[in-house]
Amino acid sequence: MAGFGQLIFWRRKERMIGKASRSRRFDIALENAQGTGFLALLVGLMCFLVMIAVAASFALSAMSERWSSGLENKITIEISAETANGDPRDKKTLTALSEQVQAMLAEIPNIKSIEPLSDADVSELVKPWLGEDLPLSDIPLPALISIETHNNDDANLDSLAVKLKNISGNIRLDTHEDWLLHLLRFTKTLQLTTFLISLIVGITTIIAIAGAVKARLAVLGEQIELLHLIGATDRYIAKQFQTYSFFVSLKGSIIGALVCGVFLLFIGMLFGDMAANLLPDFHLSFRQVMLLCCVPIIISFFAMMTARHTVMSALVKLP
Amino acid sequence: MIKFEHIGLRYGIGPEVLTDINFTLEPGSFHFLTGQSGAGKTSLMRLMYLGQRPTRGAINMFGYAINTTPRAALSEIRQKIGVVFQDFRLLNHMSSFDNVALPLRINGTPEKQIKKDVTELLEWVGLGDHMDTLPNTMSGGQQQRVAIARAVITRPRLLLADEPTGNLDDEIGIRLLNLFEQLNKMGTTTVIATHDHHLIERFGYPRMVLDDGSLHIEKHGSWIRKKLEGVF
Repeated sequence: MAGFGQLIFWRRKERMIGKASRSRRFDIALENAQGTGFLALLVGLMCFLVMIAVAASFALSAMSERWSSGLENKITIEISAETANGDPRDKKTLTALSEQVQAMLAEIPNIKSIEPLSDADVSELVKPWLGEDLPLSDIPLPALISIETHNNDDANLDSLAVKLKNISGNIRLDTHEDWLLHLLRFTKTLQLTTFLISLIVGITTIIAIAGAVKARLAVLGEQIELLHLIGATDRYIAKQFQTYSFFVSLKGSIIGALVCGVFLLFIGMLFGDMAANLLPDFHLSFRQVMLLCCVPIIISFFAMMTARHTVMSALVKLP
Repeated sequence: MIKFEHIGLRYGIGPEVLTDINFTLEPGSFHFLTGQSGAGKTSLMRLMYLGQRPTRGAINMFGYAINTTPRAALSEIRQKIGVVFQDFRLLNHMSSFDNVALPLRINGTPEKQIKKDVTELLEWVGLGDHMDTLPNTMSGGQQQRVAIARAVITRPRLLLADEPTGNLDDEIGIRLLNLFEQLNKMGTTTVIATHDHHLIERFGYPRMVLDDGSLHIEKHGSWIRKKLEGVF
């Protein structure tokens, strides 16, 4: 049965030798030109890189947003497990000091909420750094009180610092500002880097497409001249190249996007398992996924416009 | 009307290949363009189908002064010109049907009309069975007929043909010349570059003779006779 099917196929193919396909797409033999597959592959790779960079930028943005919004107007008061002289404080003293601080805080109207952290909470916080197996009861842990204020301005913070100092000289006020600023600066730098990568990849893609179009213009010069001589406008000729570039780029970038999708899923799974305790989850919102899906279309659009510009510039040389 | 005034053409810094060409082609006229090899026939044809700008002089076509017409507007003028190139210049990746349909597609003719007109013309030139055939699998004569069909499909106002019967046998050659005559009678100004003296004698239209870059027009004896007899 398969042999019979093959026979019909070859007979049909034999009949089609020297015949043109009914599905006419281009007046210029663009599809037959060498390098179409290479161009699609190149655009696919570029699309993959841009999508990775954009996804990384989204993830970094989500991270910094979560870090900063989660800590806004929040302060941690740390009552050290050691005195100012370096002598260890026993558990009882620490608890008494914590209660004294909480009583003082309760009287300040700017304080919105007071949440003393239990030993279990403190242990949970240090676990990622010290490991699960270490007996934390042997380590002197500080007493931590998390508070939320209505207003974190300098005057309020200074007044709070003075009141805490009056209770004990070894109580620290941590507004998270210092390390958060460094972290945010770092993530912003990373975001800028991803933007620059996208820009470089985008420019490279445009240069590659312009080069490919110029090569085709040279190879297909006679056909282009013929169209010109029988009355085709520059726009008509450019449209052929535009359509060709759009579809080749779309084909390449869709493949690149699919590979990128698989890669991002893999990275998401990897993040979920490896860094759940240190980093926020690597998840993209629906809006971000939609924006990522636009990347192949945007790339194809740029490819189309590049082809148009390249062809229009070249055609000006014809009489 | 097509008017060439003091046209000169040189390529680069070389000598002038056409020197002080002056002629006027009235609408609906028919001329043979002759001259020895290297006389400048192809260069003159290139100027006429606007494939080249002259080095000097003025060209006026269909009321447009070509020298001052913006480049973008020249496409519209070219659409009024049908050209049969000596080397056919068919697009080998397209069927003969699509090759003939090309000028119609360029000028935006609806597909339904294209199908009707192209089918009719290809049948008329004896290629009704070769509509889907790729040109590079056709004989020289068949390719030439496709090229001619492409040139006349839009019923151009000016038809330029460079050795259009070169690869055809006498019978088909005369048949195609008859087609050119019919178009000419419908108002198409026709210029046919040829070496075929038998054809020139047989049809007897005026000759544009290029000799060493200069042009003169000779009214053939039989043409003058026909003119006097009131055939035209």
